[in-house]
Amino acid sequence: MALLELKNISKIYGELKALDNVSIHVDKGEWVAIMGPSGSGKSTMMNIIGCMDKPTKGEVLLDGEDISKLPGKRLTDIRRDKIGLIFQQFHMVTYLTAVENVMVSQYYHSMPDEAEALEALGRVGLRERAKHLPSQLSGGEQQRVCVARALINHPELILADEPTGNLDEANENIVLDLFRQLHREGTTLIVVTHDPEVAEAAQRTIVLEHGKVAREVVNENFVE
Amino acid sequence: MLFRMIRGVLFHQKGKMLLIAITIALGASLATGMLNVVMDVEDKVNKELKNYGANITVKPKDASLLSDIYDVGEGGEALNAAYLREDELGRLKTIFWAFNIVDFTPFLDAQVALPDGDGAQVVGTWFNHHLSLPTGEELDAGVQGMRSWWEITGGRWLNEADAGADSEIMVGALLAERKRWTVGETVKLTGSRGERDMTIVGIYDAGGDEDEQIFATLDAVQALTDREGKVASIEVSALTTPDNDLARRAAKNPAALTSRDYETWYCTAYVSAICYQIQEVITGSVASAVRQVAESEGTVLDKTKLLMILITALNLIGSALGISNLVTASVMERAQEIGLLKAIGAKDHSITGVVMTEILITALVGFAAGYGMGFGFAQLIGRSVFGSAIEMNTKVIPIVAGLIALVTIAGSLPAIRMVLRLKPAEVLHGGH
Amino acid sequence: MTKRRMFLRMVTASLLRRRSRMLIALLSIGIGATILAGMVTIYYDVPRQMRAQMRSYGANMLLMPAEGETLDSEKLAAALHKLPEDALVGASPYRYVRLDMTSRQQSFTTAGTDFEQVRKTSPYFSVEGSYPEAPREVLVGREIAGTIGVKVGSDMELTWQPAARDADGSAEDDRVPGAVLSGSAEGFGKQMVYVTATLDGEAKIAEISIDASTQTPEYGGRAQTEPAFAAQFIGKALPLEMEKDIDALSGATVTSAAVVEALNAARAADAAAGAGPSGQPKTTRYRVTGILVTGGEEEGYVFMSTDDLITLTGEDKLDVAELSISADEAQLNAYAEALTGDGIMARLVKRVTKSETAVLGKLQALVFLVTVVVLILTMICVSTTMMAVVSERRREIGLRKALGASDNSIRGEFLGEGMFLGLLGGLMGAVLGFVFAQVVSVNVFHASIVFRPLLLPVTVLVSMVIAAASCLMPIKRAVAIDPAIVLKGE
Repeated sequence: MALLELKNISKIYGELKALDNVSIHVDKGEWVAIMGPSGSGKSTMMNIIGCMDKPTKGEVLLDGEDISKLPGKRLTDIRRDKIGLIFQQFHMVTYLTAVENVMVSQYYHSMPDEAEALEALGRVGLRERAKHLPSQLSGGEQQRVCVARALINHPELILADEPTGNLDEANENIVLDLFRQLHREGTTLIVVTHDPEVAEAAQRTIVLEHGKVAREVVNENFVE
Repeated sequence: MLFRMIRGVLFHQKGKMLLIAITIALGASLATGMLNVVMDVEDKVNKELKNYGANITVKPKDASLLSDIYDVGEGGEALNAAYLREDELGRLKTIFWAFNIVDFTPFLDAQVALPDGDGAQVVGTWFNHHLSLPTGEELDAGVQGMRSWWEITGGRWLNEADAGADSEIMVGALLAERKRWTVGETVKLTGSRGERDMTIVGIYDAGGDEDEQIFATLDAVQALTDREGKVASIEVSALTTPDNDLARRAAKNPAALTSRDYETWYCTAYVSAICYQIQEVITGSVASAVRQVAESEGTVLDKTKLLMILITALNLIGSALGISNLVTASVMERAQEIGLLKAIGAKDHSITGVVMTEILITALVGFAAGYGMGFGFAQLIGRSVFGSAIEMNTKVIPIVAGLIALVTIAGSLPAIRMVLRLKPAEVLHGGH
Repeated sequence: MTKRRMFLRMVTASLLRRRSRMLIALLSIGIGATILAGMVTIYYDVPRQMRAQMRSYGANMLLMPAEGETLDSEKLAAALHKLPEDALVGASPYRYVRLDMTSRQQSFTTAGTDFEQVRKTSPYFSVEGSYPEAPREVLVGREIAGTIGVKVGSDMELTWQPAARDADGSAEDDRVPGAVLSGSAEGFGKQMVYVTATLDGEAKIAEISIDASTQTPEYGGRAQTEPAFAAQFIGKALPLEMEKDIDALSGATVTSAAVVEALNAARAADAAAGAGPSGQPKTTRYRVTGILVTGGEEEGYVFMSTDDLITLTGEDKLDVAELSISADEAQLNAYAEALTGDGIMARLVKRVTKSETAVLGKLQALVFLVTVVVLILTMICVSTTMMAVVSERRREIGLRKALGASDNSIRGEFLGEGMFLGLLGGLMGAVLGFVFAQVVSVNVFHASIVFRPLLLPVTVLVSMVIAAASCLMPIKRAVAIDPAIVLKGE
C-alpha cells in the first residue's frame, strides 16, 4: 500500500520547469533514494514531499490524503505529525544541548519527555554527549542528533536531504547503519542524495534528470 | 575588490545597514537638537525672566535718598533737585551691550491734589513709547512691557500714539476703589505748577504699592510740575550673564581690576558692566542692579542651564551606549560572513577595514539625516516653548560628528575583535 | 516534563547560553528604561525644585492688618499655623517707624524684623559685614551708610520720639514727670553704693538719694551725708561725666565716681529694658554689623530686630509680614483666602507670582518636550537593537518551523524572551533612572529627588511592552519566510 503518491506533479518557476509531470509512489516501510545531478529537481521534490512547498500542478497523496491543496497551517501540522526531517547542514538550535534539541521536536509535536529523548540519543550512540552543545559536537555527532530528533516522534516518513553530504566515511556509515535499523523497524525512508553509495543502500533508486524521472532502479543487492 | 565588497554589503544588506543608519540618525538628531537647545536656552530663559521687570535702576547721583526718606508732600520736588535728562534716554541703546537692553522706561513722580482735597502720587512714564534709534532700530519702550504682571481690571492700556494721550491716566485698583472712579471718568489733577483734566482710560491691579498710584504720560507730569525734559529715575530691563567672581570684584571697584580683567568684564554682559556703561552715557547718573531681580535671574539661569547640560550629557551617554550596542550586535550578526572571509584567506586587518568602512559610510549617512532631524527638534522645542526659533550653532556640527564617529568605532571594534577571535570552522559549521 | 517547563527551559537556555547577544539586548533595554525612568522623574521633580529656586525672588505674599485692625506677633503666629509647614519658606514680620539720629539731625525709616526669616524671604539681600545677632545691633542700608558715613563696627544712637509723629506740638505734653531710676556701682573697697533718682518731664534729675553706708564715714560716707554733693546732680540730664558735670568729694573720688556710674548704669539698663517712662523720648546706642545692598528702596532703611524695636518703642505692633511660600498660583490664591480673616488681610505680590507662573510654565514645557523627544528617540533606538538581535535568529526560526512549530508558538517563545528581557531591563532601568535623576538633582539643585514608587511598575511595564513589540516585527518577517528557503544551504 502506498504511503506517498505523487501524481503528475509539476513545479514551474516562471519559465523554468523544476519538476515536469512527475509521478512516483513510495510504499509503507519502503526505503527509497532519490538521485540526480544539481538542478535535476531533487530539492524541489524534497520540499514538496516535506510539506514545505506546494506543486504548481498535480496531486500529492500522503497516507491517501491529498495535501497539495492544503493551506500552510495544515501543512505544518502534517509535517509535524507524520514527517521527520534530516538536513545536510544538520541545523540545530545552537544554544540548546543535544537532548534539548531532540526535545524541541517533542515540544512542538506533543509533550517533551527527557527520558524518551535520552533513549533516542542512546539509539544513535550519543547518550553520553546528551548535555553537549552543538558547538561541542563533531559534524557526524550533530547529524546523529538530527536523526534522533527526526525519529523521536515516530514519524511515518523520514525525509533526509543529503544526510551524509557533510560527513566523512566513518560517520556516513554510522548514519547509514541507523537508517538500516529504522528500516528494519518498519519506518518509511526517503533519502535525497547524489552519492551513489548512499543510494545503493536503499531498496529502490529514483533518478531525476531535468525535472523528469529518468529511470528507476531496484537495488538487487539490498540486504534486509 | 574592497570597494566591491563594501558595495555588496551596502546594497545587499540594505535592511541591516538601514537599521544602523536609522539608529545613528536618531542619536545624531538627539545630540544636535539637545546641544542646540542647551546653547540657546540661556538666552531664551533670560528673555522669559524679563517678566520680573527691571533689573537695573538708574537714578541721579545725589538726590535719590532724600525723597525716599522724607515723606515730602506737595512741593517736595524742590528737595529733589537732581534729575536725569529725558533727551539722553536714547543713548541707552548706544552702549556696548545695547543689544542686551530689552526695554526701559523713565519715571517722574509728583504729589498732586485731587478735587476732593486728598493728595495722590502720580507717576509720569512711558507706556509704549516709540523710539527710532540712529542705528535704524525701532523699539517700543515703556511700562506696558515692563509691568507684565499688571492685570488690567477695567479699560485698556494707555496708548501713547493716540491723540490726547497726555490727558489720559491709568489708575491703581485700590485708589480707584476708594475714590469710586470708573473708566471714562475725568479727574482734575493739580500739580505744583498747573492743573489738568485727565480721563481715566484704564484701571490696573499691580498687587503692590502701585495700586495706590496714578500713571500718566511723562509729558503730562513734566507739564504739571514744570519739569520739562526731566526724569527722576529710569528702569532698565537687560539680558545679563550671571555674576561670577570677576563680576563681583568689578562691581565693588572697576578701577581695581587689571587691564585684562577689566576688558573681559567690560565685554561680558554682567549686570555690573552694563550698569557701568549706562553711567558712562547718562549724565550724573548712578545705575545699580536691582538685586531682587538680577541675583535671582542669575540663580534661575544657572540652574536651568546646568539642568539642560546634565540632561543632555546623560542622554548623550545613553544614546552613545545604544548606538555602539547596535553596531556591536550587527557586527556579531555577521560572524558567519566574517568566518567565510577568513576561511578564504582574508587577513584580519583587511576584514576590519571592510567592516569599518561599511559602518562608517552608514554612520555618515545617518549623521547627515540626523543632523537635519535634530535641527527640526530644536525648532520644535523653540517654537512651542519659547515662541521663537532656536539659533543654529555651527559648533554643534563637529561635536556631533566627532561623537558619532567615536561611538561607532567604539561599538564596532570590540565586536570585530570578538568575531576575529572565532575559528572560521566553528563559525561556519556552528549552524548559526 | 510539561510543555510549560520546556518553554521556560528553552527561554532560559536562550538567555543564558547566548550571553553576549542577550547582554546587548538587555543593555539596550536597560539604557532605554534608565532614560525613561530618569527623565520622567526629572520632569515631575523639576517644577518643585525650580519653584524652590524661584523663591530667591523673595516674598510672594503679604499679610497686613485689615482695615481698622492691628497686627502683632501673636496674631501672625496664629495665622502662619494655617499654612502647611513644608510650603512656608519663610515669614518676615515688619514694623516700620521713624527714628531720629539727633547727632546728625537725620531721621530714618527703621524696620524691625526677624533677621533669620529675612534671610529666607529675601535671599537677594546682600550684606557687607554680617547680619545682626546680638541685641542692639543694626543693619544699615547702603544709601544711609553713604550719607552719614557709618561703617561696619561703628556705633549710632537712635532716638524714638513717641509723640513727635502723632501730631505737631503735642510732644512735650506727653512726657510724664516722676519717673524713677535706681542703680548701684562698686565703690571703695569693692563695697556697693546705691543711688535712686527721680526725673522730671525733661528727663532731668529732680530728686536724688544716695546710700553710701558701706563706705568709710569720714571719706566716702560723706556722699550720703553732705547735701552739697547731692545738690550738684539736680537739674542735670543723664548720662553724667565726672569732672565735667560733677565735682568729686575731696578724698572720696572712688565713691563719687561710683555714684555717677550707678546713675548712668541705671539709665542704660532702663533704656535697654524698655521699662522706661512711656512717652519719653528714648535713645539707644546700636552697633552697625552690616551694610545692606539691594539696589532697591531698602537701601534707605535701617533694620533692627523686632525685639530691639519693641524694647525701644514699648509696642508690639506689626505693619506687614512678608511671606515666601512654595506653591503655584492657584494654591497661593487658596492660601491667601484661608489666611484672610481674624483681622488679617493677605495679598499676593503679583509681580512675583505672575512672573513665576510664566517662567515656570515655560521651563516645564521645555523639560516636557525634551522628555518626549528623548523618550521617542530612545524607544526607537531600543527597538532597532532588539530587531537586530532577533533578525540574527531567522535561521533558527526556520528550523523550528520545519520541526513543526506553528507561527503562534514561535511568537510566544520570542515574546516570552523579550518580555523577560524587558522585565530585567526595566527593573535595572528604574533603579539606574533614579540614580540618573538623583545625579541631576543633586548637581543642579543640591537637593535629593523624591522617589516615585509608581514609576517602578510603569517603567517595567513600558520596557516589557517595547521589548515585546520590537521582537514582533522581525519575527513576523521571519515566520512569513518559507522554512525551506532558510534551511537550504548558503
